[in-house]
Amino acid sequence: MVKALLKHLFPRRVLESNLRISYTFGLGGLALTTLLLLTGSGLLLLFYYSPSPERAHGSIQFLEIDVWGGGYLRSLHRLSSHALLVLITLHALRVILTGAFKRPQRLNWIVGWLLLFLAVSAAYTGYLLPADQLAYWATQTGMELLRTLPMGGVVRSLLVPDTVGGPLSLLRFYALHVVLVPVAMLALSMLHFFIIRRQRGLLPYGAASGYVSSTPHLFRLVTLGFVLCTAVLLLAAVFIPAPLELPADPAHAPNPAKSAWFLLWIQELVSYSTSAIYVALALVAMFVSLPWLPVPKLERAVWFPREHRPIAILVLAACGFILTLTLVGLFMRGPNWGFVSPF
Amino acid sequence: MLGGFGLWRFLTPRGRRSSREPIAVSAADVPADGALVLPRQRCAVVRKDDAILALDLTCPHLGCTVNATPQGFACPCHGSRFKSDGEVVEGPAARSMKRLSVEDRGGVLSISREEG
Repeated sequence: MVKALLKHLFPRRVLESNLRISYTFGLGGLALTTLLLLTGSGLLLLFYYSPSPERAHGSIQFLEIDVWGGGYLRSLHRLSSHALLVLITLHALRVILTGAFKRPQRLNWIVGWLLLFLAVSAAYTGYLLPADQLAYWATQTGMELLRTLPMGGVVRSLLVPDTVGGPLSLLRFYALHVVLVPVAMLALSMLHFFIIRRQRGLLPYGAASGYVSSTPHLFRLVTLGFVLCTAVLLLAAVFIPAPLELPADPAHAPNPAKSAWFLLWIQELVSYSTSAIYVALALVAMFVSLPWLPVPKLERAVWFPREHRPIAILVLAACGFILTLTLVGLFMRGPNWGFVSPF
Repeated sequence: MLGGFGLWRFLTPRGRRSSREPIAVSAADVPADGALVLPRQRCAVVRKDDAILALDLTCPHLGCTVNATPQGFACPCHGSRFKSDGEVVEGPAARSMKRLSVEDRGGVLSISREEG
């Protein structure tokens, strides 16, 4: 029955030409695979994690040291979350660079952005849970940054009703991380796939011929992607353990205190000026509004369509900007956030 | 509307007032033209030209705890720099460090979280 349900999420027939790996690289399907791995590993982690400031760090230590496979599962959970963020981003880039975001895909475009927002929220709330130094300072600065935005104070008081790292805020981040965000993500993913089915697959729509049945053609690929992605993450988790820093200590920030890699570009931006956060928000707004820009709708599916060249340049420049900021934050920031040579 | 209001009220409990005891330090412990840093209390007592002032170590930018440096204070999260009297030298912080009120009670300094 699960199989039947899964089958119904995909179109019944697909264009044979759209099954080329070089068209989509299966990025959306791979992202769903990591989401399922996150759900599975997360459910197991629930058996040991204790969401109270006094016990959180200790419960992770216990999981790492005394539980057989505990450290491995935590590593798998963390790597899957990294993979999900990377895959969603690449998937979004694929959609942009093949011109597949105009009407009628606009609804799915928005659903996709909601999914990316939720994936980042899940990753961010997940970072707080171990109550280590990384967690504490990421939350402290993140919540202060939120306060500088319009309505940010309201959101902040919903997320942090007591103090950062306090019992109520830890419990809220926990509730968001283990129930609200994942449930929303799973539901929106189903919707995301269902909309594609309703639209009868990917561009071009309504081709006269060239369709093949999804069973077995599409599902062979889906299964292959699922197995490969799972295998790579299962293997990587053996070699890349998840770090755990010292317990949260409001008296001493690590020097330099760097946030998780996916937020490092924002940390780098606001280290120039607090209001640079609006640059980040403007970039996000630009990405989300792409389907409403006056560019022609495409009837076919190709990489780098000539009609969309300005968009490709704009988007790649924005990605280069974000990547540069991340690399500067990662390799060129030393004690007291001063510049250091990366070599 | 009513549901939203109810949810908001439900999710924002009344904060229990945290009673913050004043911090007491011996004036003799504060070095001449130097600072006594109390990381647990997130404050520093600075003596400069015989004047004593207390600073909150919370960075006025985004709330990291600043480090004492030979020149004054520096933030490890976004690189703001402050003079030893808390005045901001270099951003991103737009404000100087918060001063706390100090009361000299016969050689014992009483520092309270209220702004000085």
